[in-house]
Amino acid sequence: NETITLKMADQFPLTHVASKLGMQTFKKTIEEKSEGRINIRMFPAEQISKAAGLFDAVRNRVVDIAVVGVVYVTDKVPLTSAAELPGLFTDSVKGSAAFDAYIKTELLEREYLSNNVRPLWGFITPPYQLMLRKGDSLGDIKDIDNLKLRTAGATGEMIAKSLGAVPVKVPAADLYLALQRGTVDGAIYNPPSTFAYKIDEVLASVSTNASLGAVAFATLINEDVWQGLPDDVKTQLMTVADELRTSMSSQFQTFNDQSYPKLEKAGVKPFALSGAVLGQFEERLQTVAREWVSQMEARNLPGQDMLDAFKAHLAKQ
Amino acid sequence: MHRQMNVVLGFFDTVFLRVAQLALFVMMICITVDALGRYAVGIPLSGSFEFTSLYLMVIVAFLSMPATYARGGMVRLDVLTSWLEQLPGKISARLNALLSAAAFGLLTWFSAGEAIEKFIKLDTTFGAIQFPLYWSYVWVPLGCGLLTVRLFLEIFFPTRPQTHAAGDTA
Amino acid sequence: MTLTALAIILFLFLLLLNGMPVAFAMLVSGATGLFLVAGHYPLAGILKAAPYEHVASYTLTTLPMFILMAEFLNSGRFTRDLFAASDKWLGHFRGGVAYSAIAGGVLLAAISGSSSAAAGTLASAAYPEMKRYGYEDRFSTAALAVIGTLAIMVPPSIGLVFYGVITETSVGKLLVAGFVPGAITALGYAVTINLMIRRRPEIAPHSAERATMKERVQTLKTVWPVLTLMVIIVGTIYSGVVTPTEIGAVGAFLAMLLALSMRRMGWRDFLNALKSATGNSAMILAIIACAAIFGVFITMTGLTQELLFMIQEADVNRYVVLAAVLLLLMILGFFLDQLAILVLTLPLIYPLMAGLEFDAVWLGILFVKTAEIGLITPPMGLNVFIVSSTTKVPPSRIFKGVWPFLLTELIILVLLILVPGLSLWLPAVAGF
Ligand code: NA
Ligand code: NA
Repeated sequence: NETITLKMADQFPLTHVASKLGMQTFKKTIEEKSEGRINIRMFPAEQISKAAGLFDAVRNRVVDIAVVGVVYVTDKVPLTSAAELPGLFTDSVKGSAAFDAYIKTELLEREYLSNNVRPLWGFITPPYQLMLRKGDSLGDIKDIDNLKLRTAGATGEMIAKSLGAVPVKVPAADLYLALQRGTVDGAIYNPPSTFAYKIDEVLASVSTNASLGAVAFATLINEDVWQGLPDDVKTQLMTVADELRTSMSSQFQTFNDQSYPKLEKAGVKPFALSGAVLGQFEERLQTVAREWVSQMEARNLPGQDMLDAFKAHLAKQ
Repeated sequence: MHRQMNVVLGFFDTVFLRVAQLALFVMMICITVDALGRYAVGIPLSGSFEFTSLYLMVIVAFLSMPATYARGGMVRLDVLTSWLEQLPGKISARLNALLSAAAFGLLTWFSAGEAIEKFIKLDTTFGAIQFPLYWSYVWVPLGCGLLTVRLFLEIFFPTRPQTHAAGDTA
Repeated sequence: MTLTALAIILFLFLLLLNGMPVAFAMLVSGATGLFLVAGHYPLAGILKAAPYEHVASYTLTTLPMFILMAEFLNSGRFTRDLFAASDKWLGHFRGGVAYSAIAGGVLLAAISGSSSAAAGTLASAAYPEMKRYGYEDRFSTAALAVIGTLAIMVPPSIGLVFYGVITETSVGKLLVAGFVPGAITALGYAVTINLMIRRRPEIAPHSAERATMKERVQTLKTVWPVLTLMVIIVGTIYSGVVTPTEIGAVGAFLAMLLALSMRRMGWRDFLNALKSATGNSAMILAIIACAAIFGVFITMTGLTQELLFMIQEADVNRYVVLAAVLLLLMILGFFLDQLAILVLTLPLIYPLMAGLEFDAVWLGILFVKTAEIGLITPPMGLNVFIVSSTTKVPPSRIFKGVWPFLLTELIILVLLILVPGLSLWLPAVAGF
């Protein structure tokens, strides 16, 4: 029984919660469970490839496993991005389970095996929130009109637009200064990441109950590498991947919930949107899913069917 | 023969370079309109971020590479140059050309494969503007390919390493 | 693998000595190394993706854009006016124009976050003037390459933001912390230039006689447009109108408008500015694209991990560990670009150093300072290459002029290590 070394890459620094709960835990668990037979060599923090290139890195077998942000590869796995649409779920543990099932059944052949990669596990962040650099809440839907919001990714841009805000693309390196100096009025982002980018220092308030899309990550293994593994190793990898997805998503959800008191301590006020505003948000956000479906169908992809399939997975949770 | 090849290569070098210069100018306009539009009227230039990074930057970098090299604009250490030039058979220059041609040849080959694949699949992003990514990848093999041809010729017709004094990046 | 890594590094040096362009040498040695340590698939995959994705970056646009701004300022003869004015005011001192270049460098550092962009801007703006005033090229180009590094310490700084994000240290605190070390560095350069001129007065001539007050006041008439432009640029960035990434493009645009509206730039000058900016950008972007391949190779060998592991296992005084880590960063600076170094090493270095209870902000300043020194150390000093490509002065000549500055940099680094208050006092006062 030889040692099997697998190279694994992601975009997160080792200090980032997504790295701690994801790649680092995976490495630790699989090395323990396999009693040293499987060895993971970690390449964190875009060392091997930029975030946008991680899909190609695992497809081209530069590394054996990679944690891929769906937002960067909407060209390669377009239907997968259904999971990032707004308003679909609030509990990310259930969202992650549904996403995991979605990419391993309906999309397995269509978007993954056809690209010579296989999903080990899928994970979705809790829904994104509205973050403001000034003011301690959003009392009225009108207040969001023409607000300049930093968004990441295409879905985020469409979400901001449909809400009546102005989506602004700011590179991560400039985000802090852009918020500090008022280049943007706020951001659509997830609370745990505020600490990673230190923008808790320059924010005034954060919503607690919006559902402004989420970011999905699929951990993929190269299919040739996978086929070359002994059966018991495959079983072990999948078992650990399943456990990891459950533990990662529940811990990330906890971390998300805990970030509100932490943000409050840092002087950022958490606020709940009123039922009326939430309703108006929901109404405006419907255009995003409609637009998504129509763009998919324009490419001869079964957008509506796949969105329904993802929703069915959500309903089962 | 070598002379005519040089003329042909020089023509393509210049065409590529002009496209790169235009891209640089468009980049300035795009970013400025985006930033000032956002500030002055609250309307940023939608898609400027992707257009600038996915297309203009790639064009500026890769299409200007062959001309910049041919005109001696690629920086190199010249501590031993005068001594190396006295070696028989212009061996130093030929070796540089051979190794560089091989590496850029590989780079061209693999990046061309990648670009062709993206053209076949018509890879397009989802979003407010749907960007055709295949038009983003194609500049790498174009620029590197042209450079490879020149480097390949230099194996047989080594040129004196262009010194900076003689170089004119225009 | 360590042996392969060392052999490939040696191979890189041989290629550089054989006069292969720096970018090409990194591609050839990096690709060879990747094939040896990782095999065919990773080599193919990295060649397909790495050069492309390192260049297809919005953040990187700041580099060609700043260079373009400098070219427009040149075409409009604004830089000439500035230096003529500084000659009237400071010209009777030896090296007056060099001191003005430091002042210009500080101003540029306050709007630019990238050393490479600042060096490129300074070189194309100041070098022709320094040449006109009869400065020795070895001295003037070295000074410009070195002054360019100020941009990475004086806020805004890409290096410090990068450090903050990777290590989850307060970016605001880091940026404030950069002020005093940046000022000390600028002062250090001024002192170095002063000593160099005292030793060899011929490198920096001075004007025959002191200009009269009337002559001096008259220069203000010629420099007000460009001074106004500078004030506007600094104003837009500090008021948040534009981001540090965008300021280069907006600055270039304003410089172009100014030159056109004052009828100082014709169609031909405009095209020439565009030409030089493209050529100079091409050289730097080629190095960045090819260095990406070399960087992945170094990562795949695990060489840095092994060296750090050795340092960690040595079980010595924490300051010895710090010195070893800084030395490692500096050696990496011989052949990698400073951001690549931070990406490569921080995930490993930071937990090690934090475990030794060093202050995170202070470490950030030291790391960025060290990476900055790497920009001017031979044989691979990115700033030197940039200045060389803009001024057409051979890199070997610039490197020869760099030594006195390198000594100053090391003294400043030691000072920053010995007196943490230099980095930590201002953030504390600012209420972080
Ligand atoms: Na700066
Ligand atoms: Na160096």
